[in-house]
Amino acid sequence: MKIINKKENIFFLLLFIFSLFLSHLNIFDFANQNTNPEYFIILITIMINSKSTNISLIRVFIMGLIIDFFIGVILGQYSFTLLIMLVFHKVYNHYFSVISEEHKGILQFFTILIGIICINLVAISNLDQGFDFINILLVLIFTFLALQIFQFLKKIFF
Amino acid sequence: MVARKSTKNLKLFVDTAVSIPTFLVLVIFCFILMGIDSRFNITKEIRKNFTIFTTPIYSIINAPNRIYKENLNFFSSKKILIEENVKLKKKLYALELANQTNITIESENKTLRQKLNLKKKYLFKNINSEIIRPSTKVNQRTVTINKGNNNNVKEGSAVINNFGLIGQIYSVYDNSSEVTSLVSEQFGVPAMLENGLQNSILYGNGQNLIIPFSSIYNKINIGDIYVTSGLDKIYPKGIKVGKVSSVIPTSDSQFVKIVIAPFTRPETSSQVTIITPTGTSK
Repeated sequence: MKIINKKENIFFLLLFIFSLFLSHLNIFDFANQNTNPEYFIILITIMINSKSTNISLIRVFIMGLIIDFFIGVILGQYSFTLLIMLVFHKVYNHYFSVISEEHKGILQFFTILIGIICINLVAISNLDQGFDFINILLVLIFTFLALQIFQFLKKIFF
Repeated sequence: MVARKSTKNLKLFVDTAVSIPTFLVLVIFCFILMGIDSRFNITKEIRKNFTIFTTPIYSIINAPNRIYKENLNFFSSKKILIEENVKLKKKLYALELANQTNITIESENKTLRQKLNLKKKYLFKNINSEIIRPSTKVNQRTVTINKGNNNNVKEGSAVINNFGLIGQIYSVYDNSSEVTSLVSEQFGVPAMLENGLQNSILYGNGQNLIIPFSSIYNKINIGDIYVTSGLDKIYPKGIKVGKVSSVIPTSDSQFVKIVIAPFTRPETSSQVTIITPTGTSK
């Protein structure tokens, strides 16, 4: 049973609003490429890695729908991605022992990677775009950098 | 004998329970939503009806830029303004001269069209607008401009700047609109060479415009300029689109692929003009 921490919930709400604004700013746009980090994927990664946040499939699904309304290419894009990320996290945690912070870092990296792949696959199939490997790689790098910033913010907040 | 610790107790996360049936139902529901949205564009409609949620975000994002522009006068010195004024006067003088020639040509053109009994010309209305944040959206090559339904902007209208065609209005909200870029995969524009020959449709491929199959007998060279042909009645005739950058052979020896580099991209300039068809000339 997880202990629900109110302070952490407020932090995640603030991070959600922050991510919403950041997603509309092209801070990391690089050489005409859309290489913005996936802020909401970072947010979910931090949330599912948190010990004291009660996160369920339904909650993740609803959260995905809200994100889809604001920035999704198609309804269900983020809901699907977040569900896959959550299930990946649970399955990984079930079969492998995540016993140290280093293991946690690897798990976070793979969760983000799966999230970005899912987001892009849905976008590609919907927009008839080609698979731009370099672009996805840049997004992954920037997302991982942004994750470190978000985690730093979390440390400051608590 | 030392008792071995359970691996579960060593884990950072102990809660691994996830309901597989719930997960499957939700994933299927996601696919259903994607299918419905793909066919009926419901996200677009929802966003249009709930601009109350998105407008504050756009306003806050654009606030620093707006405040800076509104207060620019306080930071500009008198000397800079005088210099700018002189430059603009010179530019205006040159444009007025060019306009005189254009008026004569237009008048001649009108008389000749009447004599030759050519079909009526389509008239267009121009709306000047500015690109606001977000300049591009996640996964989409779209730009947002600060004119919408309240300014009579219509879906499908062409968007240009002083260098050429930028794209087309994709969705219209109350005070903003989204523009699909010229090079977007969803884009197609009827065009012809500057000399009025070789009518074809140019398609976006994400980076450039292409004509997937052009006959080898068409005389198209690298450096040739494509302009809009106006056949679709959406784009006025003669707007610059791009320059032929390469001619690539295809698997069929009778056809080649033409790659056209656009003259402009949405990010090039912050000012754009929306062109909306208004009817035909008398």
